[in-house]
Amino acid sequence: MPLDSTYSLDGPRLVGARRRGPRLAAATLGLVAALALARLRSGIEGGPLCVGDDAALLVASDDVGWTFAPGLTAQVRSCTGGFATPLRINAEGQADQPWPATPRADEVRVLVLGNETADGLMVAREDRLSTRIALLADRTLGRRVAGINATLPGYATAQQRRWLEARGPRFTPALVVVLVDPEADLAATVSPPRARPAPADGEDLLPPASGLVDLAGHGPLRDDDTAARSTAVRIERPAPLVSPAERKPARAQLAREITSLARAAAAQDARLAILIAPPCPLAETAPDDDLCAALAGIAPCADLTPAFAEHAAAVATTELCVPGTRRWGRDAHFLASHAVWDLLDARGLWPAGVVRGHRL
Amino acid sequence: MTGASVMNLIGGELWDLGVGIFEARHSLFARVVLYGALACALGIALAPLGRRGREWGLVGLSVASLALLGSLPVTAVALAFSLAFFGCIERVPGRAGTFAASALALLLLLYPAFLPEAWFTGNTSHIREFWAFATNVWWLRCVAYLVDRRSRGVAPRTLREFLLATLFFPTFVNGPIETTEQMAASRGSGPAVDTWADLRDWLRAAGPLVGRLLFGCLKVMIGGFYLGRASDLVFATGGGGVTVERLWLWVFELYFQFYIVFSGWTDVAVALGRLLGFATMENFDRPWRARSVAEFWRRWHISFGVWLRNYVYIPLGGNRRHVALNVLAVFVASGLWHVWGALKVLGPGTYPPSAWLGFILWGLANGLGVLAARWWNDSPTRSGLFRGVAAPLRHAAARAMAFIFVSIAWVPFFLPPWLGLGSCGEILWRLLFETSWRAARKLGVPL
Repeated sequence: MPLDSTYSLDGPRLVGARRRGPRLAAATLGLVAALALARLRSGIEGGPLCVGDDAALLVASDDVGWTFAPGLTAQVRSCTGGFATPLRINAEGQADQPWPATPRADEVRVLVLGNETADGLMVAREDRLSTRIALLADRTLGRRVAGINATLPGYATAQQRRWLEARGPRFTPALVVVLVDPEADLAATVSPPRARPAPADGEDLLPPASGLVDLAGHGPLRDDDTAARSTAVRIERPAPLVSPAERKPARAQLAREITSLARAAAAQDARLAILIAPPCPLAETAPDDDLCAALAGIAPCADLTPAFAEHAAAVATTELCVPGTRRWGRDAHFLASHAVWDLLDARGLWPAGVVRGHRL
Repeated sequence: MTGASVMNLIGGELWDLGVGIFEARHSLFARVVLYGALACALGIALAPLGRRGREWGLVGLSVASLALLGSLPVTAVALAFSLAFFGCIERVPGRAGTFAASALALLLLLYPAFLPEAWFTGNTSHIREFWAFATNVWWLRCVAYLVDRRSRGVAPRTLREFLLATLFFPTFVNGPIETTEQMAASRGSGPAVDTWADLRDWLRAAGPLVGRLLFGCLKVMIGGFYLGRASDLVFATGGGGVTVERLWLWVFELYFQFYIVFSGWTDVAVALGRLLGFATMENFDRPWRARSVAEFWRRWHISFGVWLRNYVYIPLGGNRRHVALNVLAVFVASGLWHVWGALKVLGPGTYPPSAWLGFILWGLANGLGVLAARWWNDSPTRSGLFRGVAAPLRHAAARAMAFIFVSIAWVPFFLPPWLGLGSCGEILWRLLFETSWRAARKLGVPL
């Protein structure tokens, strides 16, 4: 019996045996191509991964404590739901593109330090703070600006300084922008965050395979997956400081740490700027202590809290936060990028030749 | 420039290109290509099935592609809409069916207003953009089927044919805009070959198609990375941020950027559609060779032009009565169609009615250009004015004029919504009058 009794373009119908072979051959080709493309897709996009406490993303590092798992590719989403977003970690454990060792002749590099608030996970690359800082420069009229994302989950000022000293020189930054989290960074001065080995049998450490599309992409565990799994860490975070009595000495300690950070930046011929970066979910009422005032003597400082509050009040549906996480959404990255440019412009910190573009 | 600085420049550009490609892998285009190619390969694997089985399989793959690229809840709504729309046309007789289907088409126009915002938001998932582009194409296909069935007496199609034509994954996002009738007429056997010789023929045809798909990807990347870099500066400064020479270059750059990117999308769609055995129509035919604005619109976005001719221009009276009004109506409709697309991406807050004027002005300018070309050609006295000039020279001049006119008309089309028409006016003023002023001064004309 013919396989297809209804379909014939011209000429006599052919019996099944005669056309089954060519069609099966075409189908086999299609299947092979589909498997190859599914593997390609998996390599490009990675498997789905829900980001709860970041343990699935972080590994221990000898020189800087911990970083993102180098080379990790995944589709991340908040564990409370929402949309998946592609994530690719570079070979140095940053949620960023690979960077060449030396800047281009006309390039001004801006290093962005901070914690998970602004690391840009679950935000498109072009909407992330570091990328937007670069995109706001007019490359047709002035020097190119490169924004390097060195924000890492759980990092407080001490870790940021350590990172800047150990890895900063490799990037030869002209400017360092440090994002100060008024909750976590103050608390870290009393009880620093620590990286603990994550449970070795934790199933959440690897992107789980799901569906037909991932079938071809996830074979047996690879060696690098195994290595990443063995060094995976979970960050123990200090409890936030609530009372003014606790916050006052913490603020003084934070100022000392930022001073060290400024010295580390200066040692690399880089200028430091400070941005007070409120984490998500945004507090109904901001803390009464003016952190910027306390830190302004060390380096130029701007506070994002009023801008976020104004935006939240003015816009009905904002994407200031990624729901269910401490991370900023794209609106917050947008506001922060303009705040950085405004601050650097106002204080004349940009090296000569940098021109602000007309991009929104 | 020293050798080292040249190498630095080339190396830097290559690095940027590499990073651009690396990061662009998550763009809507890259995802459409990747999932489209995957669905196409699975579609080829359906070859042993009968035609109905294959076509239902392709419908399934199309729906799965929508779900992967455009979220499950919206896809479910889209499928329910398709079934309801088809049911109204084919199962509800008389005016009630026409009215119900028309109401559904109207509802589709307004979908951002009543579908939950949360179904479309999500930082990098491009869901809003995906549905904005796709519904622009989908709506035209649905309306075409409604008009074909209810006012032209075209024979009914099966649900399978309707769903395949309206949701076909290779052309769903950015066209070409083929109607159900065109799609049905374009069906071939594709990989469902009967003999080994046919298989060899199909494989021979598949090679260039895969090449075309890759070439389409390359075009989109080149157009995206290297062209139009000055656009932000030009628009924000009303053209004052660059020299007049650079401004002219930018205008032509805008034309080619749009052509390269858009035709790249079409290359991918045509390649995927033809690999599956459908004679997917071309959308571009060397538009720069057009000798008039009217001819340009027969060579640019051909499928949309055909749709506008069949479903707007001819029903309005075509060439039989008030031709000028019909032509303008077609181009204003085209402008409003683009307004609808932008409105879905940006939302009414960012894209208020005052911002719509860019597209409408673009449509009107092109409509007037077409009318001017007709006016010129309709009179033997006028069109014969340059008969003495050698034909190649005459044609080259006509091509250059059409090219320049269309290029300038793209300026309001690409006007960012947050800038008023004043910015566009300043650019045009600098382009047209500053150039003339300079030329006149060079020629010694007392001014």
